[in-house]
Amino acid sequence: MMHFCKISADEVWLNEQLYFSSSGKDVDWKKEIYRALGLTYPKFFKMDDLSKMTVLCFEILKTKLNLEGYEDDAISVLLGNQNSSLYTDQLFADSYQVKQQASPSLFVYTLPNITTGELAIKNKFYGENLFLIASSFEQMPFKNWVNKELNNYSKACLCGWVEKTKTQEECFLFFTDQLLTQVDINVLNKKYKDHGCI
Amino acid sequence: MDRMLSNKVFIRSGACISALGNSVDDAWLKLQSNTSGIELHAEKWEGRIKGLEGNRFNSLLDRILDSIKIHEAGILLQEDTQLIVSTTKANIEEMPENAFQSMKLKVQSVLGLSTEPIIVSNACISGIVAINLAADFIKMENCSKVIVLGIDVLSEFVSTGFKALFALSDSLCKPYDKHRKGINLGEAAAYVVLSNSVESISLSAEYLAGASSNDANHISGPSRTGEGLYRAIKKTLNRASLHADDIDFVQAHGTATLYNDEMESIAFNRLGLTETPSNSFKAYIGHTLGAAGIIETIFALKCLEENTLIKSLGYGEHGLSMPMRIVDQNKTSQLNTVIKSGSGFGGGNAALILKKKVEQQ
Repeated sequence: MMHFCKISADEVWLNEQLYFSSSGKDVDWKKEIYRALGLTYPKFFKMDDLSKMTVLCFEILKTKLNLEGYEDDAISVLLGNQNSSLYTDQLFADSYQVKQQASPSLFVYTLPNITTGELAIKNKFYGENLFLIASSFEQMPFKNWVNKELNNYSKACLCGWVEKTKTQEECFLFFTDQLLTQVDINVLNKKYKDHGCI
Repeated sequence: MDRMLSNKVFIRSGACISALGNSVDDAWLKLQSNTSGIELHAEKWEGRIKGLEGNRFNSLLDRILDSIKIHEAGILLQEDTQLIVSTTKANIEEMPENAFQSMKLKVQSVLGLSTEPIIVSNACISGIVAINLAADFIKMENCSKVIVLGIDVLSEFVSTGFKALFALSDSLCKPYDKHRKGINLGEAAAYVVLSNSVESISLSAEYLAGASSNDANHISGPSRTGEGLYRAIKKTLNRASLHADDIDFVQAHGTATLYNDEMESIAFNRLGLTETPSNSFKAYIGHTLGAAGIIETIFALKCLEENTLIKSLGYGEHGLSMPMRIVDQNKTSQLNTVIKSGSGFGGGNAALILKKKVEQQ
């Protein structure tokens, strides 16, 4: 069983289906999705954009999953991107260089793995989590990592790619409880590209 | 779950550059004499590396890559050797450029790697998580050797951030002490080599197991119950088929913030590790962030080899709600098994267990 979800400013794709199209009216497309999902999670509004996208993407992906059978540490999480928390890093640098007032609330988001932390808090995931910086989605070691987790440590894996730059915002997640083959990796690469927003 | 992987993994120290000098031997001499490398510099107590010129990160990266190139030439020639880099901020001074990209290209080209290095960025547990990842890849036979490099440098960016969080100490940091006031930042580059075969080199031990766990509680504050650290160490013990009683030494995190050290004492108490000698190296080199898990593992390996417990510098009066056996002076002791643990922002906690090779015991 493998499910995918990809969210970006224009569209949300869940497996093969267009799940949501942005009206383009909202200043922040992520807030539009938040409202469309009927979420009540005030912490969302304090998050950086990497965390917001990841949390939303998984909320949508969850509509295809039955997580009740899993123990609280049975799902391992691997996320990656190319630019780490660079977008927030710049905001934090501006806070002390331009505004002369270093912002602690921005500083805590200047690490990419805060995203896996927010995901863990929202979903009460106590299991393994890892954040990698890679050149591209295709360079992520999804196959070796998922297979070593499922063979030894966990029952399922939630993996993906979440990127935020001045010109790019996207999150692609997949959930699997099966070992991955090279064929699966090819499918994943295609899924990611098909609904890519680059 | 937790079916044991059967292949054995060995780990040995490579080089380490820190405020304690440019080699493992330099550092060990300072540790033996309980000499801190932390000094007051521009009104901050920091563990600075001497002689870094120009861009500190590039200067340090050049030095550690030179060392890897010279000392690991044989391993680098093997096609399936993997390189993992552990860092929190890489070359943050290059902003707005992508600080990780130039580092990755340099590592790959200087070392002549056919594939790009894997870069772990998991805050302060990055180093431990990177070693665990390396060990799992070897156990799964994805590769036979992995070089794990940890690197982070002092920067205005990071020190300004910790200052804004009121997390910096205005004097030498005091892990686990009643009067601790926060961290001293440090910088380091260090690497270890993990292998599926025993190499005829000293400073080597068997890697038994590792695990990580998230607190699922708060992004910048540790869990009050030590839940994530408790789980990470518990899982690590289970995977190694060991009990708390089997552990001779805990090389803990001990950042000297009020909340971190307190949380560790609660987790260790829940684990039955209160009587196990424990220390922190933070008052020797500062908190070296993405390099911490690597360089502190190197120090732990040296302790195993020398059968020596090193004093937890800065500790005088116990300042934790739970008892802990903090090493209060250097001591010779038969050491066979050590836990290295850490915790960090994002709610991450990680641990690993190393065991002296049988012929050394």
